[in-house]
Amino acid sequence: MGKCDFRIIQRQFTRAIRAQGDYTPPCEAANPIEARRFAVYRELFLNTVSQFFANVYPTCHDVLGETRWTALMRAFLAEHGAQTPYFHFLGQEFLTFLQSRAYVPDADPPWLSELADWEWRELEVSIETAPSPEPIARLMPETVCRLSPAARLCAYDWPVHQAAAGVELVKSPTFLLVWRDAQDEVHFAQLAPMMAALLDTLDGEQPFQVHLAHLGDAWGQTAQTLWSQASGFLRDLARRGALAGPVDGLETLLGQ
Amino acid sequence: MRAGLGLRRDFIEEVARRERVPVDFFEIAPENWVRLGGRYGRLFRQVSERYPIICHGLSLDLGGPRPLDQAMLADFKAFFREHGIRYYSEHLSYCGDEQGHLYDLMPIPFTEEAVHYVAERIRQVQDTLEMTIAIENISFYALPSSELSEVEFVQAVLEEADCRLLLDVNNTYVNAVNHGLYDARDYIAAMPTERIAYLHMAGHYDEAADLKIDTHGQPVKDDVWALYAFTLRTHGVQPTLLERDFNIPPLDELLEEVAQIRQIQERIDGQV
Repeated sequence: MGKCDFRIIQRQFTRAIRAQGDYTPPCEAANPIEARRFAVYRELFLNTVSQFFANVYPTCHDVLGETRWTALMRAFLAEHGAQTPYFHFLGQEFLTFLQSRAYVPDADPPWLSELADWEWRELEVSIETAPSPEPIARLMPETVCRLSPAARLCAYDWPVHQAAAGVELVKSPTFLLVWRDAQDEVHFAQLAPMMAALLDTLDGEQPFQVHLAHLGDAWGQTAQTLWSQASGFLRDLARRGALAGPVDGLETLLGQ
Repeated sequence: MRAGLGLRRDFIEEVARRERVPVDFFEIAPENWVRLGGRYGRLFRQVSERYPIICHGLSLDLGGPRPLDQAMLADFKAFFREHGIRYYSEHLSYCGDEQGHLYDLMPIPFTEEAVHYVAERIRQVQDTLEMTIAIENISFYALPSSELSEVEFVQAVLEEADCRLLLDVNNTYVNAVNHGLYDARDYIAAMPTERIAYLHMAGHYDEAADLKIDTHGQPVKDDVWALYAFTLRTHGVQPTLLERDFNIPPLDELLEEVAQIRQIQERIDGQV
């Protein structure tokens, strides 16, 4: 006992916060801390993450309810090693934690981490640093396009966009698109599997007709048929800012 | 640069929209704005083009055990250049452990070893950023070690790191009440005038007679206004920033408090 390095005292302090327990001085030279004063820290750190994540993940919070939410936050503090220094990326740490946690309570819905992923993507597109594209007025089979850099294409096993407290979800493949437009509004759309496959292949280098020909082989349809099925929806996405032109177009935008 | 306000998402749109807001500068936590795109990134650019911005960091973790975050410092350096930011302050504190970040401030034990450790890290930051930084005396609710007094600790770090001081008047008040170890005026008077970069003012919450919580969620209290006037009489008029992070009222209410800072500055100016 006797004297100890300040780092040992600090480690004791953070361990007690992470464990949401009591602080005992690690050596004689360290001061004891009155219980109600350490409680200020214990509660402050739990409340900080709890309120922060409840804002970023409101549906996860609603679905779990306060008691299970708090248990999850305590597990986050105890188990997770958060790496980002940035508060607007802190939400992603919760997602990483959910996807990798050692113990998943039986009571948690099986789609909780997919729901969290979906809630995070909505926030992620809103703070994406790449500019949102201007709407594309004319879309033809020869047009070269890619997904907006401020868009995310998501594939889930559950229809997590329908999740809410008290709602039972039925497992079914679900494709969702979320994007931020040039006016900084965030939108989302549910996609048919073929549309999701098409958007996933868009690369900003080859025109639609090339991608449609490849997809047509896989789906047993002609490129023309696929285009006639998809073009209305694609034009809608392009007009609403979910699609961007070739990479050159973005560079022009950035150069402005 | 006389009276400033902590800039928050809650009212940045209003700041961007108004023709002129009567503040001399805004302060931001860079950890809320660096690498931020979209609507708030755009609004921030509009504000930074029209008002001086200074940075007050949260995640540097000066007292923590992990190596300094060089990637973050590189981001900051570019961000400071992009927005013409010339002042950066941090907390004399730690906010993480070997496991990772904890996103709030904890009290470094006041020991000799800690002085050397923190001062060396401040020097590294100053070398990397090629600027002198300021460190803030934090509010704390527990005193894990009293090998040194708080005054001795802060003075020693300032000297050894050769950095500046962001003197938080409310924190001084809160700490003096919470620990009963010193009079707030003695603490203020002991701080080296030549190292003061600027001052912070904020409100706190009275949890108990001997436990004040530095919430930044209320208007500045009368006792802290009195201590502020004492600070200016002792160290001369210093640039001063009003912090408000919770229960954020309409912008005009915050501007009234900024105006109060200015009135006290002018009154003290007249006396000197």
